[in-house]
Amino acid sequence: MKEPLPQLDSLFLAALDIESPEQRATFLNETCGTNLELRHEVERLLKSNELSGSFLEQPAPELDATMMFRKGSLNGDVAIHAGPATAFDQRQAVVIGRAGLSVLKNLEGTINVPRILLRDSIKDGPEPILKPQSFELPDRDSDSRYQLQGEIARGGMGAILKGRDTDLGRELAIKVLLDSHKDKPDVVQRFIEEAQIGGQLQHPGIAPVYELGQFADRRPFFSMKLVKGETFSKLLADRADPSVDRAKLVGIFEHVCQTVAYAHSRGVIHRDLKPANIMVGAFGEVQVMDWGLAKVLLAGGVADEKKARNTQLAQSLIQTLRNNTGSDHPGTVGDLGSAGSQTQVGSVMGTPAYMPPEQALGETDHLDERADVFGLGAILCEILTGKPPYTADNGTMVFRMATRGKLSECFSRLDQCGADVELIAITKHCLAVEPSERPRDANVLTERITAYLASVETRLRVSEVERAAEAARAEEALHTVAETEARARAERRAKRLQLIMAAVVLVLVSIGGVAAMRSAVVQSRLKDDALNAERVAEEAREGAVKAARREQALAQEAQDLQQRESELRQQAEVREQTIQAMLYAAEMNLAGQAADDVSGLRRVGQITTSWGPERVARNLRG
Amino acid sequence: MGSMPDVTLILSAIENGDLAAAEALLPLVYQELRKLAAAKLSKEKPGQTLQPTMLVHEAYVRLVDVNQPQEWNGRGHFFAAAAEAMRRILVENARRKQSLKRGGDLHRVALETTGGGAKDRNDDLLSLDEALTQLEARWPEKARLVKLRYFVGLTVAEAAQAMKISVATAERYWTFSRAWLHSQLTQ
Repeated sequence: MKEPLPQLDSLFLAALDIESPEQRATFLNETCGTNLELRHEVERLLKSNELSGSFLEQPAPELDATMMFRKGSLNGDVAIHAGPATAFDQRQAVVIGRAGLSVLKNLEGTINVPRILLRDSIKDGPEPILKPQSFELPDRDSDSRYQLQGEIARGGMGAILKGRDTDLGRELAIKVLLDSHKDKPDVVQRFIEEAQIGGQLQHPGIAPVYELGQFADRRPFFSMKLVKGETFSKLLADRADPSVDRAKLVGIFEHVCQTVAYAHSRGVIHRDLKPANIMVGAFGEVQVMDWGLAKVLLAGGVADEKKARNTQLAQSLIQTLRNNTGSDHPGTVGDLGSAGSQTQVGSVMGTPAYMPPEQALGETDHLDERADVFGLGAILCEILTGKPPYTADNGTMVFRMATRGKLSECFSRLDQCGADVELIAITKHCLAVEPSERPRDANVLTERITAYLASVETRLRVSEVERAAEAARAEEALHTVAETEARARAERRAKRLQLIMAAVVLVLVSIGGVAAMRSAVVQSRLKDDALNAERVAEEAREGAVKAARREQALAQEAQDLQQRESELRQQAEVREQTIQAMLYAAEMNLAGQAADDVSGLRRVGQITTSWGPERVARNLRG
Repeated sequence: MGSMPDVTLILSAIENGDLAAAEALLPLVYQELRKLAAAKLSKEKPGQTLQPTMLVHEAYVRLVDVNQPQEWNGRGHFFAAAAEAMRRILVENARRKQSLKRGGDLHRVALETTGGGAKDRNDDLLSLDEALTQLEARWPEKARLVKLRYFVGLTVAEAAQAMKISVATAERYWTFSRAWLHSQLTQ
């Protein structure tokens, strides 16, 4: 095989063997002669050789999963293109856009991409990530809208990752199927079922599922609201005493009941209700978490046993897979957790400390809403007594108690907890060993709890009204003192007036010679006047009361009263004149009568002289 | 594995100087490598990459009846074909990625596992391919060695064996080719 420029390679290699630069130059001078181009090329190669370092020493770049992509390529190729679009035939699927694809990245350059970011709420609670470096985190996908930030929890079937939706700028909880299960169709099916159940349960008490998707490594995931806050379990445990905050906690419990009632109305039972599965947010959100054990009932509310039989394999598989969700330590069969508070592994699922006997006995197919009612009762029990129904030193004991429905200790604890009898009765009703003796479903329970809370409220309101009435009375009493003082002042004035009146009467009486009849007339008139005066005095008293209430107006009012008084005095004077006139008339009359009898003549003289011209001049004659 | 005897036969034919057989080998190896890569990548955890070397070796085991004692250089012929196939696969991949960078393909569902340097790496590979084509035009044997070293990951000694040349010759070829390609790329 003749090479077009045979000299170049051998020249280069020969030159390379000469170490001294001078000798090398000499060699090149000799060999290349006038062929400067050749010499130049050899020199360039020598230089390149020096500079090349590790060039090409490493084999070709590694292949990554994108390498085989070709549009419309064969099945063999398609298999490695993960993502939802490949799950369907392209001709059938309406692909609007890849789930999880960042819309904003697509829009970049066409518009000024908005980046609104609300501040964090101070009360949001602690950072939920437990493991920033999780084996379950899929690889970074530069086109994805999701940023994955670490692992929050791990269950038997999936891991919950903390994520961020970079398009909407919000935090998310992303539940992803464990990598080890991605090739197990039945587990994938069950996982998607969980997403569908969660996605269809739309209630403020249930963290909403936003999206079901698939990571590039083909693992399905679903994104949910990231619920921040405390678990109800922590709230309950943090109490100094079970009687603390009881009303508030029963209020939270009512929310839980309403949420479960909603789920029951949609034919879904939760099967793992416990305080650890309830999140209480800083702003009053109460959310029932982990619907991973949830089961869909048939329309009649009876467990779908036929379906369960049909999917026997999947059922038992999932049952073995399901373990302590929310814990980093996957349990093993036989190890029932330290105190039976963790979700159980094995053919029995749930959490023994809160589990109804029928569930503990493994009758998973026959469970219905009343299993949840028991769980709710168990939560209520922990609210009231500080502990779940079954407590023992170890999980095995707890589990044994749960299978046998050993609730006598629990019931005596309830009896001694000091809560309202009604509430204790509700709890015991829910914890009935026989399902048929419990409230039918969470809705019935909700009604009872609501009624209980309403009665408590009524009681509170009644006592509040009483307290308010008492307070009003006390205030009134204070007012009365002021009024009494004012009245006393007014009465003192009235008494003074009466004295004046009495004086007038005395004056009149002292006039003397008045017949009993006249004096009676006068007396009655005087009495009327006195009444009038009293009425006026009453007015004055009222004025005085007002005066007492308005301290600053008191002086003015007092002045008014004085004025009144002087007016009264004037009126009294006028009245006196009137009386004098009447007396004049009466006595003139008497004089007339006296004139008729002889002995009376002297008397007439007396009367007429007593009514001298100056007295008559006051027009008394009418 | 229905294709296994075919490849063994073809390799034997190449050994006997059948040039048409060499042409038939390339597409077979190419297909096998693609299929193998696809299968492996779909099974592996994402982010796990495939070494072309491992891939080629695995394809060899799958395609060639290794239990049959081979006195002829079947392995060398196979690796030569595999090196070329691998080169095409990688180049094709790099081209596609470049077009995607220009926003070409809305149907893209693949995962991106590479970091920021991916673009450079793709560019590098395409330039290298160009230079390699020129090297091939002038010194086909040397280009073969480069392909075996770079795309199959053989050592100089292994490549020498596959090419039925001495290790010293292979070393010389390699030194020259590396310098030459480097000078082409840094021109």
